[in-house]
Amino acid sequence: MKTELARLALEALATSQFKPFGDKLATQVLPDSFGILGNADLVERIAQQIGHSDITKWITRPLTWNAELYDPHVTLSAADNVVHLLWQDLSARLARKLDAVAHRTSLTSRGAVLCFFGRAQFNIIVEYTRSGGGAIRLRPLAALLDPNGVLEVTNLLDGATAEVRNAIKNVAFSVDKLVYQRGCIIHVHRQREDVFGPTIDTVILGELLAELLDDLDFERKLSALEVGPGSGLLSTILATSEHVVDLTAVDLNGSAVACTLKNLQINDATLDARHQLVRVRAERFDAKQFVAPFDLIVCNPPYIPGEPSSSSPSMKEYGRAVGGLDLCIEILRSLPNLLTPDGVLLLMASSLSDGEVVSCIPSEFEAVKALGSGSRRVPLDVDIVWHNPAWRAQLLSEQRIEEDTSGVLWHYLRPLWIRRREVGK
Amino acid sequence: MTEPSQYALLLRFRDLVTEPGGNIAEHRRIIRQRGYAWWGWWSRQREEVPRRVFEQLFPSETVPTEILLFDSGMMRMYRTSARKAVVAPSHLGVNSPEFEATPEYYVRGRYPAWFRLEDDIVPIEASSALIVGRPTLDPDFTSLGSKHSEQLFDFDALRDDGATLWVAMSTRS
Repeated sequence: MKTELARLALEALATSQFKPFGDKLATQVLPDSFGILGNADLVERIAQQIGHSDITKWITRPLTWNAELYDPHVTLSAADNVVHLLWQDLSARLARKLDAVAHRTSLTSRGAVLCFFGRAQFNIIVEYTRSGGGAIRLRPLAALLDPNGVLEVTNLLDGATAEVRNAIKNVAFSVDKLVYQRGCIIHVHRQREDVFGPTIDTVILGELLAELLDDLDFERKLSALEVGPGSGLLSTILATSEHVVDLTAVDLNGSAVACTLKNLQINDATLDARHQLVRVRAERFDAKQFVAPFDLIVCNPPYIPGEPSSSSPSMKEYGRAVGGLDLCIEILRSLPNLLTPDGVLLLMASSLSDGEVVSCIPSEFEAVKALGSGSRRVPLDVDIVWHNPAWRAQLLSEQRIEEDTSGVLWHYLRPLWIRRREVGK
Repeated sequence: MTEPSQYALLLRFRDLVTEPGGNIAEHRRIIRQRGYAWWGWWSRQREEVPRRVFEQLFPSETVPTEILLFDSGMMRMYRTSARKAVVAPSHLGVNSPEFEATPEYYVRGRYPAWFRLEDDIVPIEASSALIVGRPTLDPDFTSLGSKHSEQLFDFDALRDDGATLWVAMSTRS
């Protein structure tokens, strides 16, 4: 799908005929518009026409988004037009999604949406302003390549204008956390909803899931399970796909279940929307509770090894969300009964524990690195590790994490596809 | 060669999403409040955007161009003026440049062109217009400088025409 879109963009650049490209953009399911800027050939040709290769500036410059500049005397180059069309498609979809969020929540009149494209290679922060009548004005405030987190304030503030710096600070302090990926918007009320994510882990898994769903045969229908949906991004992507006809999500945290249900509704991906069966349940994961195996399972489990030793009940709760490998091991041990013969598990793993995780995979299953030979270096934003010197020292000495010169801890995300070995192998 | 100021841009509209008279009333309210309002051109699917004609009608923001608004429901003609036009870069249309200066009922729509109306919208006594060209349907009509024959369109003809935008002789000339 993405290749086809990039091909049409290249064709538009060569012929200045934009209709096929624009039409394809508008009809995408699980759209990844700016994700086509991962295509090196396309980027090179756009750079030639625009005159520089800074993709982030292509996105944020006024000619891309500010309609007031489209005087009849102004003719956009083919490259300008392609970038404008990408923005136009994103802004049309975002406006509709923000409208849906505003109908379900008390959304602030001004804020921003953190948008992700590609395998979280592009992060665009889109500022929105809602008028009293509900009209929504959108503007790409900042763009970042290969972000380390969903809101990487340090890099975003670096070199930003005063106006953009203020806006980014407002985003960081806003009660509304809004993340957009593949046509789905996720809203978390930071004060009222005690939920995890979406984090950069979730966004990477979201893209891997969407790529899998994009590549399926048109007729293929799936049952899917998400363990620990948190705020619901992955469940929403699954429920939005026409391939997924039966979705189950279970989370120990009742607030996460409520948030997931809210976001499914915001994205119009709930019961009966497309003859789907969607269940979101507040319960501990227990493989025995499922009567039939699943074609697709996804989980972003805790992956920090070692039980955190905190006396505070709230920290214990938090520790369960981020630490310990019990959930991961339980899922892996249940795989023979949990997955259909052709089924697949998408599991987030990390340098923190991938050795232990892989060793727990049942012998009839095999793991393939979902990011190929690569992995994603991201900060370990888990304060219970920072505040536990013994735990932190142990993780460093075992080379599960790294510490840079400024004291930031880093680990490597290594998501895995796990499926049955082919007979004879 | 006739100067562009001798021409007017005539746009047909109908109150489909507002009460009768609502389009004019809402734009007028915004003009009185802000000094201008954006008018979106609701084109028909087969109409082409006459960019060359717009370039000539809106040569700079210092020269006002007469805008005639024909209400095909109420069969009334109104006059105002615009100094600025915005043309969508692609066939997908473009949002209003300023939603604060656009009636809410179509602020989220994407249209092929927007015109910044800067004078109060006033009804004029007329039952026809002198049409110079139908640039959205006539690909040869690209220059306001060339000799064009004028054709009288009465209100029925304007209502029933395939175009929704015409170049007309200014009602002030």
